[in-house]
Amino acid sequence: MKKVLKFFVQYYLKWLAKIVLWRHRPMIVAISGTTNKTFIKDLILKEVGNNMEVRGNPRSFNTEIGLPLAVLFLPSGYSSLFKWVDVLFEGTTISLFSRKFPKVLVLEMGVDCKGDMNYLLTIVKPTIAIITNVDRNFPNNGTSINDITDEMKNLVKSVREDGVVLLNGDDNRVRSLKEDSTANVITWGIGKECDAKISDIKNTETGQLFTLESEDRKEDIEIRKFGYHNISAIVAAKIATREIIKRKNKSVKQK
Amino acid sequence: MANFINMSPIKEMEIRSTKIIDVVSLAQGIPSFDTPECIKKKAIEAIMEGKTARYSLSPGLLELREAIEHNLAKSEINYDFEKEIIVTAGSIEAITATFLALLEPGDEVLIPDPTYTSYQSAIKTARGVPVFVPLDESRKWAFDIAQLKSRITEKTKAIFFCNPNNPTGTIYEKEQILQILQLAEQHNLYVVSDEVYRDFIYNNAEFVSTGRFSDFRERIIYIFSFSKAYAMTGWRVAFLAADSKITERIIGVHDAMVTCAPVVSQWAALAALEMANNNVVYFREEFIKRKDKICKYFDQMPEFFSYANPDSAYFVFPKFSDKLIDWIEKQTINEDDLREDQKNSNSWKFAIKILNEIGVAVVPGIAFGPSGENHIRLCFGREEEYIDEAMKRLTEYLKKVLPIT
Repeated sequence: MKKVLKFFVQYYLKWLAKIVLWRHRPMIVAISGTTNKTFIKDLILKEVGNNMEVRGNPRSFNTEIGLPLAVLFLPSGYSSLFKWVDVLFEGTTISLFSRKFPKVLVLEMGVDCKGDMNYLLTIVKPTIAIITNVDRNFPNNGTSINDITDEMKNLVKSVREDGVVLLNGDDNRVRSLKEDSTANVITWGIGKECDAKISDIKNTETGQLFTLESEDRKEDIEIRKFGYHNISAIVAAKIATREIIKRKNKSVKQK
Repeated sequence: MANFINMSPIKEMEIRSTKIIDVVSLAQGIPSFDTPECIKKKAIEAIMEGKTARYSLSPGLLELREAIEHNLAKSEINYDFEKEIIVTAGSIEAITATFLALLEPGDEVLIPDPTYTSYQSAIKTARGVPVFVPLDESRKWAFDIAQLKSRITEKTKAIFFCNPNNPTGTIYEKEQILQILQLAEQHNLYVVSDEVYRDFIYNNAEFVSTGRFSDFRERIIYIFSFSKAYAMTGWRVAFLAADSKITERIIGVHDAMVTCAPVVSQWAALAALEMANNNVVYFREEFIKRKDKICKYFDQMPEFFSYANPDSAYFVFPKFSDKLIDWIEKQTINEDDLREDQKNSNSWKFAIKILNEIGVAVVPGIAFGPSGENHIRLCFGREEEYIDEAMKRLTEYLKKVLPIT
């Protein structure tokens, strides 16, 4: 019975999310990878939020039920049938009748097993995809690290030619996905071949200093955070923000 | 073993209490609540999806450590999850691994007096020497920096405290933390801060985490447990965060001790951080009601006890009145009920007496350090009916044996 209910909720929410996205057509930024998704998402929300209406998903709302909930901006019903009835009713109202909707959605896409990404891609069609890294620390649910890489490949392939794919150049598996994209690809990292190059990293008492070279610009950046992943996150978020604003400006001009 | 380590008096009292019929225990610091449903459900899902059968990486699941970094950053505490956060099998493993990594045999660690009993055992396990620094009871058990300074010797390696403090419920002021850190800087000491009760703050008190003082990060070890905040004492999961130069030393010990924290508990901890914030708020509200209830009973017994209304945690730490001390000193306890080291302690005598005669289990104050003598600790994390029953028995008993003249 529980399984049937879950199946019903999952598919009902999926269609509600698809309808609301079809009605409002926001730009979708999808972030996937084992770690660093939330840091990048939060930074993009902060940066882009100054220029346009944008929304992200709560950290754990990144799977088959969480993602449509995030698109519809709804809470989870958790284990309560009554709460789920409320959620589905509210979702139906939002999906069919909402007038206001964010211009940009920044969504974390959680991938645990084979097939997860393809399912999520039946709900959202990203214009910008960001892939952070492919790592495994629980290699025992029948899904290998190669399977997860294939899932990321599906995300890369799903981005149309006029979109952009951002790949972490420091991760060999992620970098290799460049070949699978028909869209423009931008890589970031410490490698010389990266499009956005990170160099001269220095630790300070309060954080880190580094240099970023991207699109013929060179800038020194100081952050009050520790760990290389925070540098990586800030660079990915900067590129993503630039691409979002570029596309939005372009669409305004076309109108 | 050169240095015999007794069982924690808290656990000793719990074990003694199991032998008493109709006992009401306010001894061990266990919240009465069950682990929130959302956490249990996620843990079950992790088991069913085959994610829990094997070890995680030694420092813990990447996802959990990332969520910890994210969560700490909200409180302006910045650590790198890849190198500076280690998930441990409860905070006591974090503490023991820290001291095993940092201490040489005979090194001294300054701890407040009174403070949590097992700190002494953890330091002794690492062949260190716990050195008590008396807190100032007249200032709601605040640190006395002069006392702290006077106890620093060439052998001192660390200052270790629980903030908010167990058993007193004291929150150390920001200025005091800063003074402790400056002192540590002057004498090249580590500062270990166990902040297990940071989510339960009452009376509009201000709590400032030691982890926020980033200028001193190279000597701070920050410890937090999921046990109390999320009602997960049985899951044995906590974490420590410190500069990578420190975690590099601790990770080897942690690996040797437990390989990794229980993986199912790590998934549960991730669910706690992501989904259980409302539960923490609810627990806090319930603890406030229970605190007010237990304090009301003590307000009605000024002839027997004085106490400070706790600003945090879920313990009251009342002090015996002179009248009660006189009475306890005249009492005789069965020889077999107390060990040699417990016989001259009023708090042990009183705790055993009320356990045997009225079936109420509390922890003798001396268990927390010499300054805890002539106090008892009662946990108000238990159900309200337990608190009512224990306090009614205690009130009636004291009024019977020590009638007001």
